[in-house]
Amino acid sequence: MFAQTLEQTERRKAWGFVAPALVWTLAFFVVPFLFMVAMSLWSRQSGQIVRAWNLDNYFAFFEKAALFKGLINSLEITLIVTVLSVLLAYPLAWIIAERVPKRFQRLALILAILPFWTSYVVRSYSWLLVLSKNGVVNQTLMTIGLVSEPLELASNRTATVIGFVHFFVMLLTLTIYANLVQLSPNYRRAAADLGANAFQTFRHVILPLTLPGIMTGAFLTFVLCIGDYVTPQILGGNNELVLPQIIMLQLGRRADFPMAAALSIILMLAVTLAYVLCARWLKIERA
Amino acid sequence: MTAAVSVENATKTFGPFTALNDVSLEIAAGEFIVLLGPSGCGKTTLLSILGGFLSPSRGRVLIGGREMTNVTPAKRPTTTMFQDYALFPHMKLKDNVGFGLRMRGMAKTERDEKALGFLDLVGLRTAADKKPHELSGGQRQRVALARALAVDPEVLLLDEPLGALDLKLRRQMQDELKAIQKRVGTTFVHVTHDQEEAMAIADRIVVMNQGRIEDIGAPADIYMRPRSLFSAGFMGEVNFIPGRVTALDPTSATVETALGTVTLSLTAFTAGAPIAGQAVTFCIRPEHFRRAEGEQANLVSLGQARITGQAFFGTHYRCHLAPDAAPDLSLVVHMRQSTHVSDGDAVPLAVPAKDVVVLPGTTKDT
Amino acid sequence: MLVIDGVDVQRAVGMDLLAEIPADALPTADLFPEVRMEANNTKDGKTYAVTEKFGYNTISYDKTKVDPKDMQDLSIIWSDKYKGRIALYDYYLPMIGLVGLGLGKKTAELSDADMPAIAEKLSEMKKVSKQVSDVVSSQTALATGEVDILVGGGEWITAALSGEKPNLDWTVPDQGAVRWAQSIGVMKTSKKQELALKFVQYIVSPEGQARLATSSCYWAMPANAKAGEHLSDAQKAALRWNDQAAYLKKTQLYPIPSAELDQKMQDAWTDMMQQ
Repeated sequence: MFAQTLEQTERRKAWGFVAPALVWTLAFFVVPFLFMVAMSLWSRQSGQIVRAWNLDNYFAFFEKAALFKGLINSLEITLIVTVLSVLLAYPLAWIIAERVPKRFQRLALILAILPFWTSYVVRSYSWLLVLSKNGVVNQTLMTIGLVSEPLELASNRTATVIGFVHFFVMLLTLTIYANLVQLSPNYRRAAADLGANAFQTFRHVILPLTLPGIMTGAFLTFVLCIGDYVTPQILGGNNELVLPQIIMLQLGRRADFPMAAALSIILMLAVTLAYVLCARWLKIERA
Repeated sequence: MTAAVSVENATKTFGPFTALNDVSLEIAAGEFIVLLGPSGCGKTTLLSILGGFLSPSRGRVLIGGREMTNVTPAKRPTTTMFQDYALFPHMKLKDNVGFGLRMRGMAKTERDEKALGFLDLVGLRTAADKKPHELSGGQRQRVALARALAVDPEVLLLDEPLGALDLKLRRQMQDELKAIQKRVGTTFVHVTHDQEEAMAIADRIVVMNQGRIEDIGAPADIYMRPRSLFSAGFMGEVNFIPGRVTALDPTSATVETALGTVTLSLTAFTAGAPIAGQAVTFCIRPEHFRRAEGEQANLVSLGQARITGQAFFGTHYRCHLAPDAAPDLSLVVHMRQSTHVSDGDAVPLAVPAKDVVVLPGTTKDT
Repeated sequence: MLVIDGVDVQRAVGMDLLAEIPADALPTADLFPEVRMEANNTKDGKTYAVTEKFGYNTISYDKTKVDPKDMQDLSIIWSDKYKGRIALYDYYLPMIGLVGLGLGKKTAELSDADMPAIAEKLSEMKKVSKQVSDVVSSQTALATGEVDILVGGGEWITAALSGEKPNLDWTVPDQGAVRWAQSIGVMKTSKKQELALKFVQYIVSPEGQARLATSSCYWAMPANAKAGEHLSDAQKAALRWNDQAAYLKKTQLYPIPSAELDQKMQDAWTDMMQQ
């Protein structure tokens, strides 16, 4: 009897500890999410939100080319950005971790992430100026005679990608650097000792062991990039719309909250899919 | 495969710090050498120079008679077993063991077969498809050994390979290491700070301190006939009794100590012939003391002493004794388990002359 | 005090937000006839608001880079001639109104039946444009030379920049353009009705009008025709003050589509951007 009472007390205590987190999760995630799901099943007709359950918004997403293409654009841009960011961030992280003397590494990291400190919007507008016909890049290229006509760098996908990559290289540099410095230097020594050259050591040992850092950063990049509205809005020149822009159109112009909810859930599904794909890689255990 | 190793006047400095100070060492092919010393003594630096991870500031290294001083680790006939094993966590055991073979361009089937052979050698053939994190510490240590041996090195360098294991496992692995070394015949150079481990596995022990070699020899020699006070002290418990050389003749020397005047054969002076007037130190292991029962030949009398503390250790009693002649000098003495021992007992102390080692200098110098 | 889009005044009156303004308190006769907008600002013979400024969604351009004569024909916005040098203002209502005008359709009469032809022209327009952008980006693009023409712009884009960027200009093409108007009224709940009315009176006075029209970073047209007395010659030139009578005749108000037509227009606009 006594043992059981004790167990009950313990159980009650346990609930006491868990409850705040549970309430928090319910109130700020589960309930709003369910509300959004419900909202996505309603529709907006003649300026009114009609609370009849159906999948019309989701069908419309696949039927209206402009909407579906938003997802395709989002995925294309996000993939390009993620791959480019990894390719640029890895060498940077490697140089900071391996070539910069220990006492300067912190400084180098701060310099590498300095652009984080400026406002996202300001940075995007700055890129617009840098990439414009009369911007620094084109002026420089024309002065040194590489091109005779200014390149079309602003207000298109290239500009969006550049703006994104600039931002996410910093993020990935951090995650990859953190991964690189926690690797025992003996891995590299062991590989070299067993006859691997620098490239083989990288290919067979360092790269696989930094996959968690790459994947963590890549996943964050994917999530933040596919959900971003500001950069494509400012730099893309509306020459194509990504899904968040289309969601904003539903909200800002049409007050079509059900459609916006449906599109948001589709965006969430894309992120969930990315997580599932990345999680496979993040499983790598460390000895 | 196996090869001799020759280190000639190796010195390594890091800025103002001298990690290795003019060290020369000859290792025979197939020998099991242990570099023994406290941390910072230069043993790991010496191992890194043998492995090619460090270049000596001065001096050179030859392996199998070939100049190796500035050859990269990959091109040396050596492999290293790292203290943290450095097993590649993302690879299966057979891929870890086969890694060196893969780097040498061996085809998959052949190297898998060879890797399985080496896993068999360390008793882990059945775990070939596991990953390192699924193994215990001792198993990882064996995989690291198999991986290092798989490329048939002439010299295997082991950097405190047993340091991460608990005592019981460490003793067990010592025996296995020794057995495997005998089977493969490769020259092993093994670094440790554990003198029991060193004695258990070494053909010869190299005792190092402050970047220099203090002593080299078979475990018994180092223990029984140490050639430096540091070596004597590091290899196990020892009693240091200060003295001064007062008289010399061609075969013996007379030394005056707090426990009396003792005349010893010159063979007791392991570090070289004594000089008249020289300050010296007697080194006597606790187990070498005897009761002076009557006059016995070759037994050096050390006078009366009184037991001040004692504890039973199974194989013997470990006692603290204060000599009547010098009550401040606390001696550690092992007494037979059959003896009756109690505090305050008076014991006539003696030691066989052959077991006394006399070294120049005093313990204050070291 | 409430500043409100001219087309929304009736809704505000319907919601009983606005106080009546004595008709004789306002200089209604001095306002350009086209912007008095009695249908909007009065209800049942009572005045609730007065137009305080207006402007155009038409064509802004860099006169040093394009031929100003070309800008008189609205079809230039889908012509190849300035391909890649055109920015489109990202607001579907006036833009579809403009395209409609280019096709000879009155903004007030646009219907479902017109949408296919408009969608086609939108598509052509997109092909020759460089970007579709909001106010800031559009103005920046024109000012930095990124583009030479802004369709949907007008005095509100270029006039404020007339001092530092004299190369920028605007016009109303022969086919016309879209006009917007903004009204001001007094909140019914205001505790200082008299003071509020005084302010409204100042705002619509010639002096207040001239200052209002040229004060902010986006200029607009004074609704009071007598404001010209208080404008400098340079301001008049930037605002094309002397063309107002003609421009007002040529321009039409924003389309006011039904909810269904509005959806179609937005779809057409989104489709255009995704092309």
